[in-house]
Amino acid sequence: MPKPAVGMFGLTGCAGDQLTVLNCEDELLGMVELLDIRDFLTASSDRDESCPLDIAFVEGVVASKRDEERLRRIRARCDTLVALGTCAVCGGIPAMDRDFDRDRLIVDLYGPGGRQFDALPVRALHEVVSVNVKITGCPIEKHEFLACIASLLNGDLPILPEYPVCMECRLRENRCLLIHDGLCCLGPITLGGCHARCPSLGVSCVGCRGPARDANLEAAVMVFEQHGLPRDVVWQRLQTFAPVPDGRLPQAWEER
Amino acid sequence: MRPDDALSIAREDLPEWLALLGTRAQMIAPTSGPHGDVFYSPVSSPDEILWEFENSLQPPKRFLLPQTDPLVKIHSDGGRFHLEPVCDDRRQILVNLRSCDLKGLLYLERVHTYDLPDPSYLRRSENRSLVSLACTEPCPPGFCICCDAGPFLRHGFDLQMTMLSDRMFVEVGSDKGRSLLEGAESMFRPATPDEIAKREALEAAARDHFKTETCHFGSAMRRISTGRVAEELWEAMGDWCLECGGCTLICPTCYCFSVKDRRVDEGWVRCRTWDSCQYAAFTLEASGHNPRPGRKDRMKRRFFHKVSAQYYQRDGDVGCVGCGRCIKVCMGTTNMPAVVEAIRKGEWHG
Repeated sequence: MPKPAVGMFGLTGCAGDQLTVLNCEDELLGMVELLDIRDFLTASSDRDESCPLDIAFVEGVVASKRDEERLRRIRARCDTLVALGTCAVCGGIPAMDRDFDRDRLIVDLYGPGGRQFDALPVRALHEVVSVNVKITGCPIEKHEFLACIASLLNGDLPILPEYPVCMECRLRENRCLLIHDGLCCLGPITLGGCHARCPSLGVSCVGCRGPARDANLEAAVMVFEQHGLPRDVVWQRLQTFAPVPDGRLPQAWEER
Repeated sequence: MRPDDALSIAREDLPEWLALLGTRAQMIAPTSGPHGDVFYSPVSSPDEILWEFENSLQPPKRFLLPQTDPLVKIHSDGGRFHLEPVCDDRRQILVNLRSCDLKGLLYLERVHTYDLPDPSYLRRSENRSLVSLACTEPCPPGFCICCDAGPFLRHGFDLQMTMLSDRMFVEVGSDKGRSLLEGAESMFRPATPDEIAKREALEAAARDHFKTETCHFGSAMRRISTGRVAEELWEAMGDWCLECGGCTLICPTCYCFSVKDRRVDEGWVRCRTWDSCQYAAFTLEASGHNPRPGRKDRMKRRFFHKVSAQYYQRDGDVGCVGCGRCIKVCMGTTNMPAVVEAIRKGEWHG
């Protein structure tokens, strides 16, 4: 069986997810034995920009006309499109201000000359093209990326967590930052998979992986209010990483 | 209590006895962790063991039902797959278990014995000895007395210890318990009538601590078993659940699991891993259909399992030991006593 042809792309973003992939040092050699990496500019300038791909990994958001065209071209080239990272999955930090007046933001930041940029209101990948797999995280977790590759190689879709960060936090027998320390820890509504890295170090969850399936946002806001965090502060925190509904969310989030 | 089942040992002899036990099996005991939190963990010396402590937030169930429990090794020699069961034959002695937690382990034992016995669980359970420390001062959120799970136990333990002023009162509950005394006979002597009276007085005082009962399972059971709990009530309670899964993960009687294969060396190991019935993905089927799609459906399921007469008949007890952990971990308000109260009264006020 020929090795599947793979491309790895970055739209507007920090390239943190591609770096996480390159940081899989112990697994990289094994990976290239199984995958034919054809187009991965961050790793190699020797690339094939037009070949058909079996799997395309795309990180970042669509923030310009150019991003949109690139994403459509990638979609047309590939069988399976994997959104890599919170930006690609739910907009992430770049989408934080997407409901603001774009022209005003550009002029405030760059002056009138900034109007030459083709900036668009930021969109997550699924708002532009169809996405087959979503690996969230800011940045992604190595083990989820590797598990995803293993599943795709076996002709399957990966089983990714749909439970909240609290699950893994409880399994690690951590002290609850919300209950015991009254911190605004977004663990109960944030998608797990990170092994509760931050709460395990005593740092409250900032929700960098986006919302868990069926997150009960209304109850969470009530609980945070009981701990003295006003509703608008909580919404702001919630919106920092996941301003774009990703289709898993309850209706109320979209109607907020 | 038969006379030869009631013994006592001088408090200053305890470390020597426990050190002796430590040479025969791994000792699991409450220890002090960061922030002064209590954890059940392996100890290498009796000095690490806590004797006066607030119960740990995590029950000691993971020593019987590990978070990731390897069940079967799978390997392939080309065309054929070979299966080989995994056995945990390590001997462990769990010391200073609280009555509620020991009762929780008995519940799990019945669940894994009923209908299709679970060899993996039962093999592990055979190799564990359970030594409890009766609660002379019940803990604040606990309501064990409502579930017949404390503060003192009548049976089920291998050994039950009660702290008297200068001696430790030890009750033998099984042959396994008696074997823990082998080699230390000289340290133990039959309890005197005075010691037995003291122990009875301590139990009576501990029971008195609870005043009126706090969790009326009986009347809730009647309602839930006969379908007299309105859907709207589940919906109202579901609105207060953050679906963090905390209550199920710290519950001494919860055992919902998922199954995952793990790649190990040249083969795989099929593992049972902890899961929670409160997560939507728990019952999500491959087709995308979910028989319990709403939070209310999952909450209803959880409490039906815990409190209904149908399960009471199967498991021989309510699925709660009154440890009060769900009261401590629930970020919302849907802990066991609150929900039982709501079912009983048919109303919920958040």
